[in-house]
Amino acid sequence: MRNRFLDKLGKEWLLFDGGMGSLLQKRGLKTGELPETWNLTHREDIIDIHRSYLEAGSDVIYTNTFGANRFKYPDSLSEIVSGAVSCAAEARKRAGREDDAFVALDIGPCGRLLQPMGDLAFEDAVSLFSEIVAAGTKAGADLIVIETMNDSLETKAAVLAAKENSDLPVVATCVFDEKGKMLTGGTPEVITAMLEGLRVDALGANCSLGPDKMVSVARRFLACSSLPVVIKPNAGIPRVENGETVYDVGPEEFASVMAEIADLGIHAMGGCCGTDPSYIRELKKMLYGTKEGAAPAGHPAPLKAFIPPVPKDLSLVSSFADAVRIGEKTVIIGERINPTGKKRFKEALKSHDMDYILSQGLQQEDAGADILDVNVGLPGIDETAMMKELVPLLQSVTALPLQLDTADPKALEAGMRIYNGKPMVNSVNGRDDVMDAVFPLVRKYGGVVVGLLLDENGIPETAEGRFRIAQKIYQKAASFGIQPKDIVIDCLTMTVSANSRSALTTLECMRKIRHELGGRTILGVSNVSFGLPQRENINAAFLIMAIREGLDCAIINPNSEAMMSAFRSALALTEQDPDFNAYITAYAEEPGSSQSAPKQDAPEASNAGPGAYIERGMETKAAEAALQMLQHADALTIINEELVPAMDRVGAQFEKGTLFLPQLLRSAEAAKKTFEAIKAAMPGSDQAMKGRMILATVEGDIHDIGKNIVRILCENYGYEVLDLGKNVPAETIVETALKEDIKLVGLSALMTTTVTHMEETIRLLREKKPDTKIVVGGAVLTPEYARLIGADHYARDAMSTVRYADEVFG
Amino acid sequence: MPIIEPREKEIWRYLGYRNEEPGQDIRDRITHCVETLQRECTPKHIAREFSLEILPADAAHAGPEGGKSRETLPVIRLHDLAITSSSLAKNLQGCEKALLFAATLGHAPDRLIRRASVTHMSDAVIYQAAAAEMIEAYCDSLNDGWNASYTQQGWILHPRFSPGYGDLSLSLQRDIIRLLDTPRQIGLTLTESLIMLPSKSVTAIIGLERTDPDHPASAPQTNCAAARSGCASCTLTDCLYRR
Repeated sequence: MRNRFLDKLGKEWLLFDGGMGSLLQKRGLKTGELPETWNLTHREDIIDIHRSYLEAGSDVIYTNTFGANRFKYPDSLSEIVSGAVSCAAEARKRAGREDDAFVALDIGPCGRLLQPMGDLAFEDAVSLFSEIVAAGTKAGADLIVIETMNDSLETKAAVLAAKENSDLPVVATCVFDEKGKMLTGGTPEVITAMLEGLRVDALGANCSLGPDKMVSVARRFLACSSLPVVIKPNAGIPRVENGETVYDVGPEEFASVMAEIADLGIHAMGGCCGTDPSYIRELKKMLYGTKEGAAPAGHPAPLKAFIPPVPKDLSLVSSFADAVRIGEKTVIIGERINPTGKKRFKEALKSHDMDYILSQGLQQEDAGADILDVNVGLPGIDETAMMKELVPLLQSVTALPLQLDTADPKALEAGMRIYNGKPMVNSVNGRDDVMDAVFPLVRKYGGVVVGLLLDENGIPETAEGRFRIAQKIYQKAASFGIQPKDIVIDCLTMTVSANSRSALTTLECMRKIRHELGGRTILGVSNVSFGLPQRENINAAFLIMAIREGLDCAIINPNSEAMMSAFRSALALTEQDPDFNAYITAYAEEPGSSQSAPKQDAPEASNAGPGAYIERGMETKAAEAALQMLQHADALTIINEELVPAMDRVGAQFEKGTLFLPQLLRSAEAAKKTFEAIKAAMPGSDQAMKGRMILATVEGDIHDIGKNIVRILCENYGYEVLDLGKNVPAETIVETALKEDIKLVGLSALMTTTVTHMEETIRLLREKKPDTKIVVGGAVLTPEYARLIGADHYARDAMSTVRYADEVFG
Repeated sequence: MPIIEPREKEIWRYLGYRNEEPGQDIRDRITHCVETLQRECTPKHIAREFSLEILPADAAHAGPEGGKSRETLPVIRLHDLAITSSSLAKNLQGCEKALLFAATLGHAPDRLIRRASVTHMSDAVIYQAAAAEMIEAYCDSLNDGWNASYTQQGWILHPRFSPGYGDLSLSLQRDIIRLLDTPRQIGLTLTESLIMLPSKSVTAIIGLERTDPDHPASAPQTNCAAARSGCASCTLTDCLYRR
């Protein structure tokens, strides 16, 4: 049966079914009742509904398993699922359509939000979906349908579960609003990139919109998808009439708009909420011209011309919300998330200072990066664990697609698996062992992979030599089913001062790749200037030449204004910046005027010290003043006589109620920036630390704004903070306290439901490390409550934590 | 999609400014954050009417399996729920049905807060305060719309009441989310510990009382902010944000 579905998919019209919920309600299902229980208790009703769809003309029916998962059916999942499949199979038998209709195992969203935005771990979601897939496959479904998905990451978890636990074909459809956006930000292009990468068999949209609003969504899918497109709209907009939900688009109107969508070239259709078999009957009439009630078996020649899917030569990488097309115009890949040659970054990796790493990403985004390279390889760092942790964190603060950059296939797989979208992969080269390790991952998870033109014999001297490696990479990729559009070639930048021809060789090779293979290219340019003075001159010039040669991806430091001005100018000169919008946006304002920094008042006294600026929360001025002061004072004096007193003054004003939280934080940010400026100018001039403490939001709680406020203040008042993050199990906190011999632990909880975890953490800490003091805070806590759960101190706000720390360490 | 207009003074209040006004620099940041939120939020809501019945404490006591604490508390029967809560019973006094509703600003506030936490914590608290006010303002505007249409049909709206207010258990969230099918309808989900995600979301019950044409003002007034959001009937009197 399976092959028969794939035999038809994308080759002829396939009619899916319509809504299930409203039909069940008509038969007596109550609001809030679990519909899937009917697979066991009301089998005849379920069979009847399926049969009516088959008789109306549906070729594919969805099992009644939309909400069947372990959260709702902890004890009876496999019975519920196999009951559903057997109802559908029975209906098919009774309708006499065993030969040409298909039972789709229906998988809907699980109702919980995945990490990092929610609390459900990605692998838990995969395993939850795997249970449904395994049960449905065993029960004899013909295909798997993942539908009504609001979140691209959850969609990915479900597709992986399907692929890892079944050989059945997979169809995935998501929910879009009128602007073509999913709830979590995805668009048809974003979803297409990811789902094609995951190798589903068909994709598209269902639910939420009526057919008229679905026209533009369908059009966008068809413009980028090489796979068959499925569209299942609602019967218009719902409204409640006499306690019942009714929809405003009837069967004929529905079919007439779907005729328009059919003409766009979609490949399968059906209905969602509010539709019933009469809608499918109209669709059938519209596609085939059959009269109502005509025998559904054996399709006559359709009225509507069927257009098979058209392969698209689009190289797309995506995140959960943005898709970047490679080959359209040169894009910037920011290279700064990489420890190589960066002392501060290495320090951050070692001390697990994730916020610093994240800030490196955001800074590049603000500077104009389109994609961020992510490299966390450093001796002594568990690269796989770091990749797995950093990728979701980055994706919780930026929508830029990521380029996962590692030589370790394990770390690469960890990153690719949890990545929300279709990543870039950096990299393979001409060595078979490398390609054998990386290509299977690209085949499984999807990605645009960078091919470096070197092999076991090193880097060929000539363009021809490198070109031959490129050919080998393309060939080998093809043997894994990876298309040329998912490969970008790095012709390799060599140091020009070592070989004066090398830059020309690289450019020549790029030209060959582009003209003879139609390939896309990528280049990191900064190597070219090694050993020369004023390296940015050479780098910028080489970048411009490469862009003239058709470079698709430039790996650069977007924080370098020299590189960015070269980049923007080159784009403007090569017709890649229509109307010069990007160029004008960047340079029409005065140089030096920053768009993102908060507006700052003019200083009252031009010779004010950094302390005065810190008090007013003016971070740029404060840092500048500190650097100026460094010319005649040492770092420690500035810290002790300017920074610390300034923070003491704002702290006191905050406590008196004459200065408020946003100002306190602005001052803290200014102080932090000033510390960093001093540290950068005078390495080794660290502030004397008063002590080390742990901060964590307890298990079950995912609010961390309060904890983050406490952290920035404690750091500014001279404490080293080990920030364990949010949703932290008691064991982790206790283990860290023991291992690092921590004297003070700060715990935050916002909900009454999570204070129990706080209490448990305190109990465990008391037992394992009785000498540690514990301060607690959070919206639901009171001094009495804090005492009751055994804390040493209740902090009503961030300053009060600082004061308590002063007491503990003083 | 509706553009939500927050009340600036409410944002100041959430930021801890009691009677003072923030300086111009902070007010500029507030404007910036509000504009960003207005651009990126995707407000959605869902509401459904259910009939209800309030069993007074002694009547509820008649149930065979009432535990000790239940014996002294009234029970509200609403669709397939039996809610034990004296604060809710008081709030719904005189109502024969109720509007169950859920509203959310979508994922944008959570992302903006998280992003600002990395770059400027001061912006993060402003996003937090502005979004908190915006979900309230959104609920108020929905409330106003229902108020208008129900008044016409001869009903009065009681102040909205949310799980966690007074003695109304937070675990009621699970039932509201189930009855309104919020994950599918508006993308509102719950964590295991009953935290709503997206976090800038509200669920509530609004009692509907039939107006007696002879005594039009027999129900609690709904035209002041405190009554609308239920502060007046809430027992958490030490709440920082109580009006």
